[in-house]
Amino acid sequence: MTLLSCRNLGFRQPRQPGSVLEGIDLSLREGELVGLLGLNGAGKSTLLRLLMGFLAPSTGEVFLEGRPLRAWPASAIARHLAYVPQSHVATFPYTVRRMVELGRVPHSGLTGRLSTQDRRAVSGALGRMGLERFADRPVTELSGGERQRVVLARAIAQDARGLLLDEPMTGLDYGYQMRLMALLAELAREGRLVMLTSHRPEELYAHASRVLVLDHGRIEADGPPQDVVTAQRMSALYGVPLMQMDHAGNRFFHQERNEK
Amino acid sequence: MIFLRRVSSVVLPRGPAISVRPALIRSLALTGVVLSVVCALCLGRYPLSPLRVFGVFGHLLHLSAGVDPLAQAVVMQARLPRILAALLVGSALSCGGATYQAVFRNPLVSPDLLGVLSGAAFGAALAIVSGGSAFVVQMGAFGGGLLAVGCGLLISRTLPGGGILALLLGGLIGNAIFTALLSLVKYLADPMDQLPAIVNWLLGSLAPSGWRELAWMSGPLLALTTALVVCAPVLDVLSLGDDEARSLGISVRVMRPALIVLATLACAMTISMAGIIGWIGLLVPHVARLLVGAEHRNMMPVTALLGAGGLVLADTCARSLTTGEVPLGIVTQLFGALAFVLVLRRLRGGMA
Repeated sequence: MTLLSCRNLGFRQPRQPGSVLEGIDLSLREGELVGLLGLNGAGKSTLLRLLMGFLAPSTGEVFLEGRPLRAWPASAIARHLAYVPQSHVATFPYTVRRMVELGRVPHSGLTGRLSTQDRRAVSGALGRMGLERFADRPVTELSGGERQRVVLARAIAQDARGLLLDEPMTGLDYGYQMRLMALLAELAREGRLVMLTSHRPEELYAHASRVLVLDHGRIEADGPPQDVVTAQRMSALYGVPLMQMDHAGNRFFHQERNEK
Repeated sequence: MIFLRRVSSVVLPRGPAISVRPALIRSLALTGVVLSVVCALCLGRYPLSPLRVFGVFGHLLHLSAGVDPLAQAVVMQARLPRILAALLVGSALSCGGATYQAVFRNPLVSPDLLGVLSGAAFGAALAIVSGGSAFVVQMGAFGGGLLAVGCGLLISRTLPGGGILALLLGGLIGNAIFTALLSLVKYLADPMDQLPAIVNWLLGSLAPSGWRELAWMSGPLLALTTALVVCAPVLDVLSLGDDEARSLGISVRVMRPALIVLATLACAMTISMAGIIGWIGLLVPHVARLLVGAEHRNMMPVTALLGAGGLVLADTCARSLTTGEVPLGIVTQLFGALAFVLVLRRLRGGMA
């Protein structure tokens, strides 16, 4: 079922020439793991923020379950969509547990006590991100990657039907990059919509069910990873000559070298 | 890089230093408030024994027959209204400061960020120069404070980008305008009587607080402080940043201005009641965070209690340290700044 869609979506910065995004038509279904590729500044984050309703589109409209997103109250959107920003700036030393508990605010309200279900969601999310032993530490004392895991755990605890992540791999160590992709694939298999921006075509090839390529403010490609993540398209997108190598369901790229 | 880490370790207060349950800390703070009130009732230019103070209340409640007219006059006419005013002003300023710090996501912010102080000072100075009564001066301060913040907010609306940065810049400009206007009023004031009156007012004091002021100020001030304490859980979400707060279902566009308005009203009322009392709004939230941790829903009630008790003690010092009276603003500024050193040392030590 289509959870999130947009028609003719466009965005331009006020008082600046040209648009960041133009004529974006998308229909995102539950159960999909959607990867979004694009150069730096291609508008990937802007697209996610438009889909979340953080930004008002200049043209077109975003729909959640077929209803215009602006007609939804903020708290109802939060029960349907969770969001992980590129980086989290910790100002106050809330404990890790409290940060993850804030993910239950859309369900239990601000002042309400946590229900058994809330508690289960929080401890489950802490466990999935390997944060149990950090639970009582202030987030300000954690490293960037650990903090990223806290924000991911909060989004998981939010238990929303759609999860939008802006470069979630930033700052994670290699092990957690691997685990996170597997976890996102698992969440999609559970029937959620997962959409992430990424700079790693190989990972999207291995895990995503659908890959979008954003270039010059438009969707240049949209399809299964086998068709979209190809050496030809990646070479054209990134401006680097690439060769591809398929092995055991994975696809790897390496730079074309002029060897004698 | 090391420098940056050091700075951030100063700016970012640490979690609970002692892990005690917030409820216990709350009752301890409440006990502290009661003790500080008892101290304040007893101490002063005319010291009273606790027994005589209790005797006054016993007589009021028809528990004892004997009258102690002197003690009754000191307690009921001089000390009690002033102590009640200190409780109200202290808690309102502290909660206002904590709210500002969370809304602006900056623990070093104090309630004068958006120009409420300079505006109130201008309003009061204008009222003094135009020969207004004490009531007119109070209204001038209140109106001036709101006017300045309103100007700051309006200016921030015209700036591109929006968000916290635009608010900060708008506040900075509003502050500058009203500081300049205050200087103009001071320059034009009669140096023989009006200028000293302005300077004296700016120093801040609870001396003019009587039952009449309390009668119409206590209701709104109590309501505003209560609202800030009740809204504290919103601050936990709001302080995560705009996008994250929205993704958790908080309407930033509604909640942020609403909280700023509540905190500003509270501060403007304290200024019109007691003049400018610095450092309470900055220091007390930090102390509360040290005691119960940073979660606003836990720290805000403690902030209110500590602010109330702290200002009662500061005011007791102001009126009993010397034979005359030191303006309260000077006492809070001096002790506040020194106490802040201790708080920061505690934070730094915790980062080791």
